[in-house]
This record gives sequence, structure tokens and C-alpha cells, in this order.
Amino acid sequence: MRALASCMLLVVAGCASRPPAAVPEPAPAPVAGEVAPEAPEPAPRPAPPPRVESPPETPPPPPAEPQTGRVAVVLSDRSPAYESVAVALGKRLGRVLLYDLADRSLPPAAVFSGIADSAAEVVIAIGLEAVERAMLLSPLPVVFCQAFNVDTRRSSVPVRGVAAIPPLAPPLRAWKEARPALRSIGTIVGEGHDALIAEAEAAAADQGLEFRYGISGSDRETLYLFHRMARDIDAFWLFPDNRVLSVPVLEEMFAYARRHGVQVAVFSPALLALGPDVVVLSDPDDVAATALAVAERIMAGELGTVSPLTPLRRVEVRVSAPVHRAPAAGSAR
Amino acid sequence: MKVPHRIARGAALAWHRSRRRVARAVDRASGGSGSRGGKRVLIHEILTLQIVITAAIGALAIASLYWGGQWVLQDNYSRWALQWTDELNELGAPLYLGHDQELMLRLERFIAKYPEIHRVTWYREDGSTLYSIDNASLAGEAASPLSPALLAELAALVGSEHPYLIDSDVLDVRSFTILAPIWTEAVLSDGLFGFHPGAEPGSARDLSGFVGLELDFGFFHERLVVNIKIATSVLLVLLVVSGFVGRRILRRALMAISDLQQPIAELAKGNLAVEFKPAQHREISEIVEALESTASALGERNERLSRLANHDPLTGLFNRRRFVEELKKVRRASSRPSGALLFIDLDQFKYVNDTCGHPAGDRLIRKVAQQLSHSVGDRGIVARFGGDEFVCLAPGVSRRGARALAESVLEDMRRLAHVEDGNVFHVHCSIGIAMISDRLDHDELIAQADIACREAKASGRNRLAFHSKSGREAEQMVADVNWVSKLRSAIDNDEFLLRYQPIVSLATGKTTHHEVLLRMRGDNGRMVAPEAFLPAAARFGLMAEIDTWVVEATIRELARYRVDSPDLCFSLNLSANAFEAENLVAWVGSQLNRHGVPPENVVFEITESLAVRHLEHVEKQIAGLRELGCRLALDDFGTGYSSFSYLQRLPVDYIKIDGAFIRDIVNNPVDQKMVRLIGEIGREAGMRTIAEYVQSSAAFSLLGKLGIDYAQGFYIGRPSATPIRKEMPVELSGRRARRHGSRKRAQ
Repeated sequence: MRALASCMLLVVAGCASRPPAAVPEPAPAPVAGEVAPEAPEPAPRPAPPPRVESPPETPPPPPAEPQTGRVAVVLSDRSPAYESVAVALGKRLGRVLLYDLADRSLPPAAVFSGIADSAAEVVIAIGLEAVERAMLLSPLPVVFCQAFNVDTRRSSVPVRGVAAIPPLAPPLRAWKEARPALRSIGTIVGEGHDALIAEAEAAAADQGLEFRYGISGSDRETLYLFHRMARDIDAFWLFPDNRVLSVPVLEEMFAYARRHGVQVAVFSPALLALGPDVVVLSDPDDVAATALAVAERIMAGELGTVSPLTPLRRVEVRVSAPVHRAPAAGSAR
Repeated sequence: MKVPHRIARGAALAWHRSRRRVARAVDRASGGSGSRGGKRVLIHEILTLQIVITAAIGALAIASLYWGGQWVLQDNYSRWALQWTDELNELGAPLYLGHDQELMLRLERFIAKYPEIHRVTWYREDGSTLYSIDNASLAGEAASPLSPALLAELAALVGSEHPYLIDSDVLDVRSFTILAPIWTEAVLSDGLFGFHPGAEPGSARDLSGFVGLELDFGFFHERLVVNIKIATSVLLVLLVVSGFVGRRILRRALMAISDLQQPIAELAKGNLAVEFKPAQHREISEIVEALESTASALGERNERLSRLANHDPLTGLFNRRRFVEELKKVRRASSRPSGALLFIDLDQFKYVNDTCGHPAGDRLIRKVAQQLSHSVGDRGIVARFGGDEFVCLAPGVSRRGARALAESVLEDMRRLAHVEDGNVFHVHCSIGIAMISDRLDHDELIAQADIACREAKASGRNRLAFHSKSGREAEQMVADVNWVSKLRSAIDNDEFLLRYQPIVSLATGKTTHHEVLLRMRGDNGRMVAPEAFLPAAARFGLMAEIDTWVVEATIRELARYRVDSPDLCFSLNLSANAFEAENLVAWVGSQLNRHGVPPENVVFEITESLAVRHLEHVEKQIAGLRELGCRLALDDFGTGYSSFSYLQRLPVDYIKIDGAFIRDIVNNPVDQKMVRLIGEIGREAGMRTIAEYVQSSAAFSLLGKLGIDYAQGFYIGRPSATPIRKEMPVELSGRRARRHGSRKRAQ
């Protein structure tokens, strides 16, 4: 397996990204805690050549203003992907009400009952579990992030979200530059991701790549489709659709991809153990800033003008060394 | 049987022929192995062994091939069955993809590629059959639904490490059935973002149904069997080919032995000039060398035997047998043969023999032989008939030439002087001449010359005489020739008769043994004593055959009589011919073995004159016969050249005192003293004495008193057709005297 220890980090963003901040200890039970802004922020790393691809239609988030007590943050659990966003929110808000649903000492209904009794005006739900609970139990508008399969139709309160996947075009461009021989790329997702498919198709077209996709109904179907798709593609983009993936299937897909020389791009550093060739990561700070911006607008009464899903602005791409051949790929991390 | 000492030599071949007859008889008696067809053939045995070994190896190879192939296949069946479990996701596609015509077609095509797939069946969650794809003709054989127990067992496998069941028949491991649950699984809602290899995210599993895969590797098994059959056929062909090739190679390798077969057969037939092919193999080469050495040795032996058979051992001249052959040749050479036969007999030879001893006589004979050969030169052939009798064959000479030849011989002999012990002897000769005629056969010619020689001797010796047919001589010649034909007939037709005269112990009066006497039935039906025909037999060279007959018949009859009288002993006489034969001892041994007669029950008698005359030879034969276990008797002791000193050199068991001392013993005190002396000497030498010609009770009583051990004669018993055991009355005083003698011998 190619080790990403020797990987090269490309930060495709307007500024240097930083490593995930140390996750602060959550507030002790029973309900929530306030996350104090983390003092000294680490010095920015030497940035690689800027590869910022900012969606032109998305305005940059406004500078965060102190919103102490007006925003409640609910976490599905304290996994790094979620906690890093919570930490970023804390930095921006100075003080935030944080609720961890994984803490079973307080039932979800009690959590949201507490939020209703607080001064919070908006709930930022991090993770699908938190989003789904919030849509059912929260009396306040919900802004979700780090959630891929959100069905807002079941919600009784206004719901807006932040894209779980960073923009596709910049990492695809970087991938293409790292591997010029790349000719085709494919992906398999469950139903309901037409926008994502369209974005991917457009990004691929921009890079002159053939794009194939499959709509799956289960993990076995994903595997079945992957076995057939793998014969015709050079690369596969794995999206975090939990409905059509399982750990055994993921392992089988990666093993099959290795046997057939298909490169795989994943969405989480946690998947590095499976041996992907490319890791496309969102920036927690970008996620937090975007979510906070959406919350601000809702609180400002601009709910009707807020897009159901606000895209992210920054992306971090890591390409494993053997694959990376682009001369201007950036500095090694 | 009394054999005169003047007997022709050279009967070795007769003994040899007799030995061969015995060997053939023994061979026949031992199971007929003489039949060549009944013997095992070496090459066939080796080839049979080769084929058996090859067939055994082939059978083992085929069995190993079958079982080895079977084992490998069965091992592979298991492995293939496991490999098919990897395909369960693909095969289960209809359960999680739903029924899709294209999918089913694709699956059918996929399944069709694998002949070992018997059938694939998809089951619903409740175990009922959804549908199935048969890869074989399974008309009317529908897949049966899964039993509840099996359903539960399969459902329990969901999410396990080995989510399948493999069912195979112990008796038929070629068939496998793989049953597996097919389920879908989804990572729980936040699992993927929080995915961590060390902490597996939770998942939700949803059972879709079951898939059953029936595998039948009989196809491969059948192919294996077909291949094994082909391999077996090839192996059999190779075996047959290797058998044929091996046969050829073996035949070629054994050709060297086969090549020996014909020369050895020729050698066995007596062809000593046979040539052996040079062998390339060391072992065969050594055999060939041994055979060549054997042939060479046999040739030398034949030559020696031939020389013995054709030549007189004393002088080196032709003997009677060879002379007769030469005479026959001359007579056959022409329809009107001519020439002369000279019968030469030395005058006064007996005088030299008696006064100077037999060695001196032999030296004289050799000298005469040289003189005769010199005198005759290339005018004829000289032979010695025995004793002092020589013959000369002068082919083509006229009566005058014959006379001239005889006169020159007489003249040369008159000039011959033989010096012995300082004495000069002039030995003359008498010559009888018979002219060769087509009307006379060889026996008649020899008889005529012999008669003429006797005529010359009768006329004053040292002269020659032509045969002229007077009435008496013609009658004698006819008589001799008649005897010859009768003897031949008797030998060929087994017409001789044996008579048995008892010999009794003077101590006990009981018969201890019998002397076997030869008789022949005359024209008038009366018995003829051997004195009447043995001279003619000796003269015409028939003694060897008569000896053979006598020994064979005596031992045979002894074996017959021993059935009732196991202690019966026979004593028989042998001629000089018999003692001159090289293989006498071995032949006698074979006869005794053949008839199962103990050697100690046979006594061979040899006349004193014969023994003394051929002392060296007889001494050796006596030792051989004694070693065999036979006993020996010195016959006619006291006559002729009697010399007590010879007794020390002749280790005999009995001394038979000549009848001349016994005939008038009652009245002649000299004879009495002689007999007593012989008895005493015999006792001293450890020998027993037998008195012959005992014809009265007075002589019988007197002999006992003189210390003689045994007696034989008409008083005791005449020769009879069967051995009769007599018991004679004996006097007590004589018995005491002999006991005394016995004690002395024991000392």
C-alpha cells in the first residue's frame, strides 16, 4: 500500500490551511459546554503555490461577529471531522453552546428542550445524526454541516446546509496535473445527488476526462457496479454516501482497485488506512465559517435568500507520491 | 570263470561304451530329462519374468496414476468449491439488484462458461425458490425450497467471516452444494465521516435472500477417467512395445548363449573338432574358452583312448582289434584281395620269462617288436596279439613275396641277440602264413595263419609254414570260427549261463560264499565249460565283452538272490582285459549302486600269473576295488611264477591254492607241506586261504588240519544253477587248529 507518509499536501485554498486544531474537551455533562476560543492559533504553514478555486457565485463569508449565546451547536459525536468544525466555530463565536448527542447521559429530546429554553436562535448541527435529530426535535432553524445525505423534506423547521464535499473542480484539476494519463473517472452514489453528479460531470469535462457514474441502492450493488465500472475507468471518486457503502465493501473495492490499477480519491483522512491515492479534504474552518455565515443570515431574517446548500470555498488535496507527477504541485508537507 | 592270462588288450572302448549305456539308463530312470522338449528354456523364463515385472510395474503405474489423479482432483474440487464462494456476491446479484433480464442473461453466460456449475438457485428470505439457472439438463428436477432449519442456519451466517455452507457427499466428493445468505449492509448515518480503521463504524444489515450453488466436478472426473484410459492404453502399448523390444534385446544378448547350443550339441555327439564362435561378452567368452579346453582335453583323451584301444601298450604296435580293422580294409579294397597274413610266435620265449623274470620278458618283447617293424618296413603292418604272438599283414604280396618276407623276418630274428643279466639269448620265431582270399573272412585268415604257425613249431621251430588245409586243421579252424560266431551270439543275446559253486568254511562247515562260473550251452544242449570257448574268445578279441557281461550278470543275480539271502557273497573271475581298463573301479561302483549290492559281498578273483605279469597295473586296480569295499582273491596261487614276495605287494583278502597241490594231497606229503606252508604264509600276511579241487572227505579233513580256512570242490558241491548253501561236517581238532590260526592273524 502506498503510504501517505510520503505524500504531498496540496492546499487548494485562498490561504494556508492549518492542521486540525486540538479538540477541546467537551463541556461536562449534562447538557452542553461552552467552547472558549482557542488562544494562540498556530502559525500558518508555508503555503504551497496557491491553487484557490473559489466559486465565483459564492460570496465570501462576512467577518464573524460575536454571537455569544445566539447559536447552539449540536454534534453527532466527537469524531475529528465534527469536533474540528466545532472548535472552529468556538473560535469564531468566542463562546458557544455545544451539545454532544453521543453523550447518552441526556436524551436528544432533553438536549433540544434545553436549547429551546436558551437564548439560541439557530442550531448548527454537525453530522448527519445531529441534523436528523435537529430536524425532528429542534424548535429553531437548523444549519447543518458535515452531513452528506440530508433529506430536508422531513423537517418541521427551516433547514439550510453547508456542502459536505468541497468543490470538485480544483481537486480534479490537481489530480489531472498529478497524473496526466488520467482519462476517465467514475463514482457511485445513492439516489438524490443529482447536483453532485452534475458538478462532477462538469469538473471532469473541464479536465477533458470521461465521467461515469452509477446510482446504487446498496453496498452490494455498489460493489457490483464498481466491478464493472473499474474495467473502464482510471480513477474512482468515493463520496461519503453511507447508504451504499459498508466496511467490507469498501475493503473489497480498494483491493479490487489496487488489483486493477484504479486510483481512488476519498473524502476523509480516516480512510487513509485503506490506501487511497488521493484524499480530498474540506477545511474545518471553512466549514465553520460557512455555517456561521448561513446562521448569521438566518438570524438576520434572510432565510428566504439562503441557498439550501451553501458550497465550501476551500479544499485540501493530498496526492500520494507515486501518482503525483505535476511539476507545480506544491510543497511537500 | 577261468580266464587265461594270454588275453588281448585294448578293451577300454568296450568299457566306455558300457558306461555310456549305464549313464543313459540312469538318465532314463531319473525322470526322462533326456527329452529336450520337456526342459525349461532359459530365454523364455527370462522373457516371462521380464513381462511379469513389466506388467506389475505397469499395473502399479496405472493404479498410481488413477489414485494420484483422483486425489489431486478431489483436493482441487475442495479448493474450487472454496473459490466459488468468492463469486457469491456476483451470483447473488439478482437478490439485491432485482430481476433484470440483462443481468440474468449475463449470469447465464457466466455460468455456462463453467461446466462444473450444475445449477444456481436463488431463494427468497423465506426459503422459497425465486428462480434458478441450470447448467445441465435437469428436466423435471426442480430446486427444492430451503428447510426452516437450514434457513436459520444460513441466517446465522450473516456478517460472519465465512458466510456460506459447503455440503458435500462423503461417498461422492465430486459434488458440492454451496449455500450462502445474501444481505446488504450500510454504514450507519455518521459512520463514514467518523470512519476509523480501529473502530469499525456501526452498520445496518438487511437480508436479501439466499443463493445456492450446486457444483458437480463429475465432468472433470470423467475427463480424468478418459485421460487415464488413454494413458493406460498408451502404457499398455508401451508395455507391449517394451516387451517386444526387450525380447529382441534379450534375444540378442542371449544370442551368444544360443550360439553355443549347436556347437555344444555337436560336442555332445562327439565332434571334438567343433568350432565355437568368438564371444563378445566376458562371461560367455570364459565359457567358450572352458568348452574349447574341454573339447581339447576330450580330444586328447580320445586320442589316448584310441591309442589304448588300437595299440599294444607294451610295444606300441597295433593290437588285435586294429589289426583286424586293417585286414578288413585290405579285404574290402578289392573284390579279389591279395596279400598274406603272417602269424609270428617266438620260440622259447617262456624260457626267458621264467629264468629272467617278466620284466626281462617284456624287454625282449619290445626288442622283438622293433626288430619286426624294421624287418617288415613298409611292406606291411605288424601287430601284437598278446604274449609272444605277433602278426604281420602284407597286402598285395604274392605267395613268393610272402615267403621272401617271412624268410627275411626269420633271418633278422636269427641275428637278434638279447642280453639279459649278462646272458645272451637268441630268440627265434616260427611263422605261419595264410594267403588272403576273398573266400575267407578275417577270423578264418587269422585262424589259418595261427594253425600254420603251430605247424611250423611242430616241424621244429625257427621256420615258416604256409597254411595247407589238412583234415584236422580244417576241422580246428572251423571249430574256432564256429566258437566265435556262437560267442558273439551269446554276448548279443544274453545266452551265457552262470553256475554257482559253494565255498565252505573248514572251521564251521558252513557255506560262506560261492564262486560264479561261466557256462555256455553247446549245440547238443549240454553245458560247455569255459576252457572250450575262452581260448577262441581270447584269440578273436571277445574277452572284454565277456567280462562286461559276467560282471553285470553276476551283480544283477546277486541283487536278486540277496532278497532272500542278504548275506550271500559271490566271487567272480576277471580277465586281464578287465584289469587293463582304466575305468574298471568306477564302472563296478556304478553297477553295485545300480543294483544296490554292498561291495563287501563281491569278491574279484585274479590269477596269480596275471597279477604278477601286470603287477603295477593290477596293484592299482586292486587298491581301487578294495577302496570301493570289494574283496579280492589271488587265484591259482602256487603255480607258474609263484613268488611269496608278491603277496606283500598284493593286498588281497584270499589266497586260492591251486588245485595241483590239492588233487593228490592225501597221498603226497610234499603237497601237504606246500599247502601247510601257503596257509601259514597267508595267515602271517593277514589273508585267508581257500583250497580248490577238494574231491574227498579225507582231503577236506586234512586241509582243516593243515590250517586252511576254506575249501571248494566237487566233494563240497558241484556248480549249480542256483547258489546252494551246504553245511559240511567238520572235525573238532581241525576247528581248534584253525582257531589257533585265527588268533595269530588277529595278533
